[in-house]
Amino acid sequence: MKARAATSFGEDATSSAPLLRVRSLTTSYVGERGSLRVVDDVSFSLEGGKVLSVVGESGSGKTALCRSIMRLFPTSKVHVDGQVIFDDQQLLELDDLEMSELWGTRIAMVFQDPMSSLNPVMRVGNQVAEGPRRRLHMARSAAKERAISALKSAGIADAKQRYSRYPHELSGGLRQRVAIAIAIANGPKLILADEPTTGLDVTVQAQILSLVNQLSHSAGIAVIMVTHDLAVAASASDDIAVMYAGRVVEIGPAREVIGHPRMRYTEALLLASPRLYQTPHARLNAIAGRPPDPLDLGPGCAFSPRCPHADSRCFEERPELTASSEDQRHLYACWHPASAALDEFAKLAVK
Amino acid sequence: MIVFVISIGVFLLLHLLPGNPAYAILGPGATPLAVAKVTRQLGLNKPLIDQYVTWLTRALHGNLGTSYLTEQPVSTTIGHAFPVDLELVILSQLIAFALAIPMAITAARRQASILDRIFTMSSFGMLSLPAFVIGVPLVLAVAVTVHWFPATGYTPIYSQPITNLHEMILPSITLAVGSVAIYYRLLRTDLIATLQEEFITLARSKGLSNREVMYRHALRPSTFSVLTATAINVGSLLGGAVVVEYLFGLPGMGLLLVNGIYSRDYVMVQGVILTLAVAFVLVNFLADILYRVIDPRVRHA
Amino acid sequence: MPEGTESHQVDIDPDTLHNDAHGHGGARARDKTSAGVMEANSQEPGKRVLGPAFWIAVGWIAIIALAAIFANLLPLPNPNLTGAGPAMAGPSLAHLLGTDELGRDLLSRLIFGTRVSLVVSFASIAIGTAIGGSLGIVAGYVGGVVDWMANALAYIILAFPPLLLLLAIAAFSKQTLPKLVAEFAFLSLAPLFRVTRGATLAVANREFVQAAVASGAGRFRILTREILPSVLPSVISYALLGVAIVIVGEGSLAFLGLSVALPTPSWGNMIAEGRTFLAVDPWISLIPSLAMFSLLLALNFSADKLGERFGSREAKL
Repeated sequence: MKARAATSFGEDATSSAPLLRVRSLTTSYVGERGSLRVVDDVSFSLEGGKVLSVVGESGSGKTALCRSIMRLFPTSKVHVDGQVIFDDQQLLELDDLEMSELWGTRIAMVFQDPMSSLNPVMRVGNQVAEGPRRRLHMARSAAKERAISALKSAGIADAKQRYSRYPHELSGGLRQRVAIAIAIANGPKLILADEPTTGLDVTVQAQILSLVNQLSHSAGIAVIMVTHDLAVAASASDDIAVMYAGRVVEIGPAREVIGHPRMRYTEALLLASPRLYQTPHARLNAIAGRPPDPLDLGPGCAFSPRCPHADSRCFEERPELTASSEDQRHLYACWHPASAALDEFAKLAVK
Repeated sequence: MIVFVISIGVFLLLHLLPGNPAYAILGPGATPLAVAKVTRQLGLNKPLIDQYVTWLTRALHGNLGTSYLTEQPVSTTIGHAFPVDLELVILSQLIAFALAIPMAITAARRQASILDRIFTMSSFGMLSLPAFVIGVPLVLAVAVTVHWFPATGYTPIYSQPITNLHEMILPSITLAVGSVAIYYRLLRTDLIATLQEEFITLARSKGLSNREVMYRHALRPSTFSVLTATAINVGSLLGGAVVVEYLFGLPGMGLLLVNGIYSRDYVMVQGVILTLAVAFVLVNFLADILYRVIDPRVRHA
Repeated sequence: MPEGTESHQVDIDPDTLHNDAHGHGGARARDKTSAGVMEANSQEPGKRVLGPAFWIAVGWIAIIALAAIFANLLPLPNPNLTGAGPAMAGPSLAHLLGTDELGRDLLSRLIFGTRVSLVVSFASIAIGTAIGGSLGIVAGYVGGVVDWMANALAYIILAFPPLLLLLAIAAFSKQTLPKLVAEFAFLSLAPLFRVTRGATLAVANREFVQAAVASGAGRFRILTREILPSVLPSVISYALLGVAIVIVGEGSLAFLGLSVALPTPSWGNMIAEGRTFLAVDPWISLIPSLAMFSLLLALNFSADKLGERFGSREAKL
């Protein structure tokens, strides 16, 4: 099944340049009380067949980052700056029509809550087949076949029977598999998954994560997975980017970010995450303070008001992303980086 | 069950009113002999329950009695009149949907746009134009002044369909005006809510065009309250149909009812009201079934 | 805030990110600030204010009501006086809106005709709201068998087309003003009961009511002090719609000649009478039509604005 998935839903990403390059991406919502910068100067690259997890708390801009790459917003009062280069195309320079041609066929999305992201009054099979039928202009029967094999690739065993079910007749895990089938049906090269496992229980969560990884690696699909859960990110991604107040504050290979966090916010997140670490004194280290008000950010590091290591420099001067001495691909933005490895506390195996 | 309760209601309604219906039928100058005769004819001297059982048994067999005035079976007269109402109501609802759905889609797609404001303001206007208010100016404008449509007259649809349609258009529009406003407002509200749903964003992310998103994904989940409203609305449409038929001289149930009231044709009024009430219940029953077809969640609940 | 548009602002998981209540509460407070910026996108403009159009509508209703109440004091000829002027005359200084086919003053008939519509509609809805509303609030709050029975009864009444009921009554008894009021009040009971009950159910489980229960407030006190004020706006908005609906109903009856007996003027029977002379003098019929339209428009509009202002979206039926 793995092999079939690889041949029917993706091409090998063998080109030398990364599939996706994001440069200085800045996104603002324009509202009545002025504009609100939700993504601030974010840059990264992602290759085909790799999974990047974007981790952050509520309001850190991780979802907005996803939507900016996709250019899919519910309102038009959004302003996006910078560069998004996908497959040698400047996405931000495309007009709406050209952009929507990429939607579904080259870039696809998986949403947080499959209950609300699936149409309640449409059979799930038709929702999967709709993409191939409308966008690839397949005949009805071919689209149906395509949909069934997409459902199979998404790990739905009795795809033929499930095809004519309605969303409310399926379990949460199955619904999310359907959502994934919708995303892969047209063989995209990039999938943006926004909290794909948040509503699911832990066992199902693990299954969905391994499915995402398997699809990504076997079909060469690049996946950006947004999550607030470091445990999810640690178990299912090649790279991790940590976001805080709209900025990427630490990014690198998952093993490095989890094993040797440098930015103090990442460190605090890890120490507060009971599923990843057992702290020596079995006490959870909550992060004091509250997330920053995006309308009222100081000139310094946005985390400084909550950071136990912050000094006056942290409040006045914003640290830039710098490469770690141990791994050039591991970048962090901190004036007082942590040095001790947290390996010894690790509970979960990190890839 | 509801039909049964209604039958009791219709029956009691006309029997519990003060005074002997025979007087009502014959008028104040009736001789005691005539009153006694009519009373016997109608079975009014028997106990109420007996009267009801007799009446109901006959009604169930399609026998609604004989008109005191025309001496024709009421069911025959109703059989001729009912298709007029059916056509009037169906035509008016077709017109209402044909206007309300595109209006609501346009308005919901571009909220607070000029078109949205115009439609919403005019929906208030239409809501304030019951049949007896809009009917007269409409007749004046299109029938009296420019003679596009006839102001009165009726040809059965099975003898001359074209003439029939020509005659029915003005009455149907008169009846449709209020419905347009109701359906437009409900559908617009529901469409706006549906368009905020995440499955709409997902549909867009599939690369579907706005049109496909609207018609394939947004419209159907937005029609539930319109459907419910249509079923309830039939009640006021039946009332409106009475006015419209009176205004345009259409020989439907409404005219039958009004004339029955004028001439105190007791049996006729009872028959017409029972028929219309049962029709109303049936429509609501049909709407319930249709609801299940449109919303799979209800089907399995 | 619309669902699904800004999911990243509500996706917090306190177990992994914040273990202290303070941090969690802080996240909520912050959500509000950014949500405030975003709200401009999802809300219709002017939702929070009633706006000048609302007050114009209310003013118009008030003018009509005042004219009807003080009709006797206005310098108008008797509305039933035939030959007050030449028949079917156009507007003149003596007769501002002209005269009808019998030479009766149209303005006078129009103003006196308002009385029937307004008395019937306001009185019947007031009675209906008082009875149906209190039943609804009690049934919704008490629940149980009382609620079930009252609700079932309302359903049965609602299963009957209202205008047919009126026509059936009209069939065998002459209509008078008090009878009309009673009939429409009866018809308005079931819908007003259901709206009030619905609003009460929605409120009864809210935190502030629970808090009052917990603090040991008596049932009557909770009903009058906690529930009534929150239910009232949507009921009033619905009652205004009811007034419009009753005006339509009475007008339809009058149009069919089945409301108050002639020659007492009412807008409905004026429209019906003028209809005969449509080709000769359309204004006899058009003037009351316009008056009816403007009053209904004002009622519908203000009811809608009130409903919108207090966030209730009751079905417009």
